[in-house]
Amino acid sequence: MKNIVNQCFFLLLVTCLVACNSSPKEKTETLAVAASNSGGINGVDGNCVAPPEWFNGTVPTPQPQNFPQGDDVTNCDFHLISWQYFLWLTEEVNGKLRFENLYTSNAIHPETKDDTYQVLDIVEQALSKGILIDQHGRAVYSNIMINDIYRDWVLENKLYDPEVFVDFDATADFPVGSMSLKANWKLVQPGEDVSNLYTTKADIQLLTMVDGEPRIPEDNPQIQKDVEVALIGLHIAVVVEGHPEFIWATFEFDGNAPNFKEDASGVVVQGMNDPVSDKNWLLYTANTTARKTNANNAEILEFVDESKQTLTPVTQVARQYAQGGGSSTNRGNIDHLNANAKDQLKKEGSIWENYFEVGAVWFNTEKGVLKPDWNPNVDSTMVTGSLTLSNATIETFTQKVRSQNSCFSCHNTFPVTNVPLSTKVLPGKNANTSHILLKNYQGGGEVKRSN
Amino acid sequence: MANSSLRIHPAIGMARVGNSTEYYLGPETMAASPQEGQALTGGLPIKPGTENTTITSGDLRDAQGRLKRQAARFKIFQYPNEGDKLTFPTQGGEEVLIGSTVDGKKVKDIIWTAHLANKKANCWEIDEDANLGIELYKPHEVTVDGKTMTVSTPPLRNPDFDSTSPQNPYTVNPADTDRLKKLVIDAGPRAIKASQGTTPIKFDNTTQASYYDQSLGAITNQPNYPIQFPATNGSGSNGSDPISYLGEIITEPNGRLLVLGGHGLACAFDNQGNFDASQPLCKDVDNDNWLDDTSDGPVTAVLVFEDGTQQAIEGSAWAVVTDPAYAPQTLNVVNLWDDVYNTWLENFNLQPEVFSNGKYNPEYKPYFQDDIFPTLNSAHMQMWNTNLPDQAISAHERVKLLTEQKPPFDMMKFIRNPDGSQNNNGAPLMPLSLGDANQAFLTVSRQQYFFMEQWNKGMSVGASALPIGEGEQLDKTILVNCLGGRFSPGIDLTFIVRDPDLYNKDWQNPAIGPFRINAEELNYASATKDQPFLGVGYTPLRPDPVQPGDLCKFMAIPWHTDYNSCATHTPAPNPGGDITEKNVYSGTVNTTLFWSWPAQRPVAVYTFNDLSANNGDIKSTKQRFSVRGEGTAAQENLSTPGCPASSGFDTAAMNVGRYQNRRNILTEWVKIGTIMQGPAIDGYPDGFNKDYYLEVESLFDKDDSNLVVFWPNVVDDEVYPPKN
Repeated sequence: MKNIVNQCFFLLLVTCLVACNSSPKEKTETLAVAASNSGGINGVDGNCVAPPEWFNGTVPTPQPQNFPQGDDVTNCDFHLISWQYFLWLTEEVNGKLRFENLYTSNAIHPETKDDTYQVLDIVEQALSKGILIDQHGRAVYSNIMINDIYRDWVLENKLYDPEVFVDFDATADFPVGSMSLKANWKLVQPGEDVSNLYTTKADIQLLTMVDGEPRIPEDNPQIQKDVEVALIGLHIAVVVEGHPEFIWATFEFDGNAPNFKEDASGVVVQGMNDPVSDKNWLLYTANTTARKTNANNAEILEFVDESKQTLTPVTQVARQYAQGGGSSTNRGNIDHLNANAKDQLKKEGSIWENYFEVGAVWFNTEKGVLKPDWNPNVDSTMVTGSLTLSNATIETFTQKVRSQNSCFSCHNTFPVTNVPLSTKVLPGKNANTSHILLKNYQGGGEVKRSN
Repeated sequence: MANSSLRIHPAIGMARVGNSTEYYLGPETMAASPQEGQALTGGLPIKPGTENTTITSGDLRDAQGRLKRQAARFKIFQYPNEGDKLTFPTQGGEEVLIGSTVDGKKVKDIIWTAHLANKKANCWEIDEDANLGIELYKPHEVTVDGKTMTVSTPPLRNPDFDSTSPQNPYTVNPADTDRLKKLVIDAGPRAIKASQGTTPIKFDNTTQASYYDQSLGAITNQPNYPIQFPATNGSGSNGSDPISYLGEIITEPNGRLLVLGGHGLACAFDNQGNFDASQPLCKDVDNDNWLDDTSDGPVTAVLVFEDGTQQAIEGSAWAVVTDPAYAPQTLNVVNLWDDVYNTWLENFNLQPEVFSNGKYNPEYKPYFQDDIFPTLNSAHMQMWNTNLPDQAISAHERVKLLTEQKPPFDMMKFIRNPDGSQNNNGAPLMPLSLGDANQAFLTVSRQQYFFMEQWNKGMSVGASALPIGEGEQLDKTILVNCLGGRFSPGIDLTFIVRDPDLYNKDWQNPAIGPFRINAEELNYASATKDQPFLGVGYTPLRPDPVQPGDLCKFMAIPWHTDYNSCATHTPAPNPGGDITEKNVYSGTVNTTLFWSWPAQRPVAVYTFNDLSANNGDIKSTKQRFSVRGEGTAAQENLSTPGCPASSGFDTAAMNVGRYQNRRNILTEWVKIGTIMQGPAIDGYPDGFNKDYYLEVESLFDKDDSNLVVFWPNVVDDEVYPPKN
C-alpha cells in the first residue's frame, strides 16, 4: 500500500498542537523579572529567570503547596519550580547530594521503609528493552528514588499490597509534594575527563546473560562496589498544588548528545542521512548520521567481554526534540531559564552550570484534570509544556516512536492488563502514574505500558 | 407436496490455491476456537475422505513437496416445516446425503453444477492512490489530462488494452466485446453427478462445458459454450505461466460437492492479449497485463430421488478460490464474518433483537463465548504471526482469561471506536493494525464494538448461546476463517461484502436463506461460441446481479504481489502527510510500522525447528520472517525492473519480510511455511507446550531475510541479518 497524503489531517494536527500548548495564561509579553521567594513561584513567560536568592547560599526549599493557580500560573512557573527542585536536590547535605539521601523504591514496603541504599540497579530502558551503551562499551545505569511524602502515602494506604492497590480509590491522587526521581549515571573510565560532571562512587549491579541477552538478573545480581560514576541525567517528577499528574521534568549534562536540527519555528527538520553534529559528544561520535542514532539494540546487544562488562554495539545518542518540543513560549522559556540559571551557577563556580533542563510536561487544568483511564494517545488536549519530552539518556530509544515519545505515554492512568495470569487486571486509576507501584503490582521488572 | 426447504451450505465456500494436484478440505471449525475435549483449537483443515479428521503437518504438502490445495466442501441441508418466512438464526436442519429421505422420498443421487471464472483484468482498480474503497463507486470528481469529470467508478484496469494510444481509464467500456473475450477467464459451467463423481471434472480448456438442464432433467453438455482462457499461446517463464485451468469439481461418495481451485499461477500478456512473460509487475494490487488463476462462481444442486423425480434447490451457494491459508488457526481480529454479519444486521433486519430502526438494542445481552471471547482470543493469537513485544503478549494472554462477568476495568478504553472518531489514534487503542480505506488504523466492526460494550456493562452475565443450525453455523464458520476489516483489497474477499446489492435480499424466503449472493440466472442454453457469455456483471452499489468471477475480480491481480507487500507499513493515510527525508523526525508524521493482515498473512513466526533447537523454550526462541527466501533481505529505495522509479520515501525497515522484487513471489509463494498448533505437528514432543502455534513445512532452507525485531519498529530502524 502507498502512503496517502492527507492535508486535512495535517492541518488538524497542527491546529491541535498549537491549541494544546498553551497554559491558561501563558504570558508572552516581556516584563521585568518577577520577584520570587521561598514561599512561591511567579515566573514570566518570555523572560523566564531564576531568582538570584537561589544562588546565594542555601537553595530555598520548594513549596509545592504554594504553586500558583488559575490565572496566575504561567508556563515559566513549571520550569522554574523544576529548576528549583533540581538545584535543591543537588545541593550537598551531610556530604552527599540531597537526592542521594532519598529513599529507594524499596521503601514503599513496611519492612524496608527506611531503605536508602541506592545501588544502581537499572540498565534496561522502559518500553524499548534497549540498553544505552556508552562510547566505552559500558552500560549506562539508572536508579530510582522517592521522597518521604511519596513513601508515606503508599505505606499509609498499603498500596504495596497488590490486593489493596487493585481496589484502591481510582480517583485518589498522590499528595502535594510527592516526588520520584530517576538518575542516570555513566561509569567513569580511567583517564576520562569528567571535570564538568558530577561524579561520585556507587555500587552497581552487574550484567550477565539472561534468556540469551545481556541483562541484570532479577535474582541475586552480582554487585560491584564503589564504582566511580558521573551523573548524566535526572528525572524529577513532583506533585505540586493542582497538579496530581506530576510535573515531569528532566535534566541532562550539557555534553551528552547533540540536538536534531530544527527550523526557525522549532520543527525538527533533521535529515535522516545527515550528521547530527560534527563534534564528539559524551554519547555521540562526530558526524554520525541521524538514522544511526537512538537505534534500539535490544535484539542485537552482545557482550564483548562479560568479565569487563563491555558490550556492543555502542549507542549513538541524539536528542530528537530539543526542549521536548511544545509551543514557542515553552521552548523560549526553557532556553531563557537555562541560560539564566547556568549564568548564575557559573558565577558560583558550581558544577551544575554544566546541566540543563531539557523540558517539563504537565496539564493545562483548564482543559482537563487527572482522571482514571486517561492516556495521552487517546486524549492529549490537556497536556502542555514539552509535549514530546524525553531524556536522551533515559528514553533514548523511544524518542522516535510516536506513541511513546512523551512522559505521559507511560505515566498515565490507564488500566494495566499486562499482569501475570494469576493477578487481577489493574483498573485505571490516578495512582497508576507511578511506575514504582505498577512494577510492584506486576511483580518486578521494568514497567511496560501498552503504548 | 414438499414441505421441507432445501439450502446449500456454506452460502459462500472458500477454496484455496496450491501448486499440488492434491488437496485437503477447508476447515469447518472456527479458527482458534476451543474444541471440547481436545487440545487442538479450531481452524485446522480436514483430511479428504473424512468427516472431520483434521490434518497434521504431514498433510500440507504432497510427496513432491508441493503445497496442497484446499477444497471447498458444499453440503445440502433440509429444513422441514419452516413456514413462509425465515428468521435468523435457523435452528435445526439436517444434512441431505445420498440415501437421506426428504419429504418421504429417498435421495438416490445429487447433481451439482458449478461455474468458475476470473474477471480481474477487466475490473476496476482498487486505486491505491485514492485509497477510498467502495466510496469510489459513488459519483466523484477526477481530473484526467487536465480535465475534471464526474465518474462513478475507480479507473478500469488495462485501459489501454488493444489500443495504440493511452486511453482514459474512466471512459473505457468494460462491456467491450474484445475486452470480455481477451481479459476474462471463463471456464464455463461444469456439472457432476455424485454417483459418478469420483472422477474430477475440470474447469479447463479441453473439458466441455456442462450443466443441469431442467427441461431434460439431466446433465447436458454445451459444446457452444465460449470457454475462454486468454493468453495461453506461450510457455511459462519466470513466474508467468499460461493459465488453462481454474480448478475442478469432485464429489464425496455421500454426495457432497468439493470445489477445487487453480494452482496459483500468474500469467502476463501483451496489449493484444498474447502471452508475454516479459511484462513488469509495478504495483502491489493493480497490475495491468496480468492474469491469475483464482476464480469464483455459483454452485447449484438438484436432488434425484429413487422414485425418478428430481428437485432442484432454488437458491445457490457460491465458491470462491483465493490465496493459501498459511495460518489457518489464527483468528483475524476482524474476520470476514464480522463484516458480512454487520452488513446483514444493519441492512436486512436479520436480527431485530440486536439491531433495528437504525440502532443497536441497548437491552441486548450478547453471549460472551460467541460474541466477545473470539475477539479477545484473536488478539492473543496474533503473537504467533507478528513480532509483538512481551508486554502486548502478556496483556493479551491476561485479557483472554476474562469471563462473561463484567470486566474489572473499562475494556472499552482499549478499543478503537468504529464511529471514526479515533481513526488516527494508534496504541493503546486496539486493534493495532493498519486500517481500512482512508483509515489509518483498523477498528472492530460495529456489532463487535456493541457486543463488547454490552459485556463491559455486565450485560453478558447469564446470557445464553444463540441456537444456530449446523448449516448456518457452516455459513458463519467459513467466513470467520477469512480476513475482514482491512479491505485494501484484502485476501479472501473485499469491500463488496459490505454492499447490500451484493446479496439476495429475499433471504426470508426459505428457499433462499441469508448471506446468499445475488446470483444472476444464467441461461447456458443460449451460449454461442463466438460471443463471450459473461458480461460486466456486478458493479458495487448497483443492483446488477452477480456473475461468475464477480467476487474475486476486485482482489489484487495477481494476488501474489499484494500478499508479498502486505507485511508492515506506515499508516495510510498518515495523519501528518507523507513521510519525507525532512519531516521524518518532526513528530508530525507517524513513522511507526504496523501490520496489514497479520492473522492471514503471517509476518513473523516461531518455527518448530527453532523451538526444537531450544528444547521447547519459547523465550529463547527468536522469531523469523515468514517470507524469508533469497531476495528478501530488505533494501532501500526499491527499484522494480521495467517499472518507473519510485519517488516516495523508502527505507530498508519498510521493506522487511517480503521479496524486494515482486516477481520473485510468483514462484516462491509455494515455499512459505504454515503455522500449526503443536499437537497437529508430526513428531511434536510430548513435553512441549500444546498451545504453541509454530511454523512448519517451510521450504526456505536458509533465512535470507532480516532479524525480527519486536514492535515498535520505525522507518529509520537499522535492519540486521538474521541469526541463522
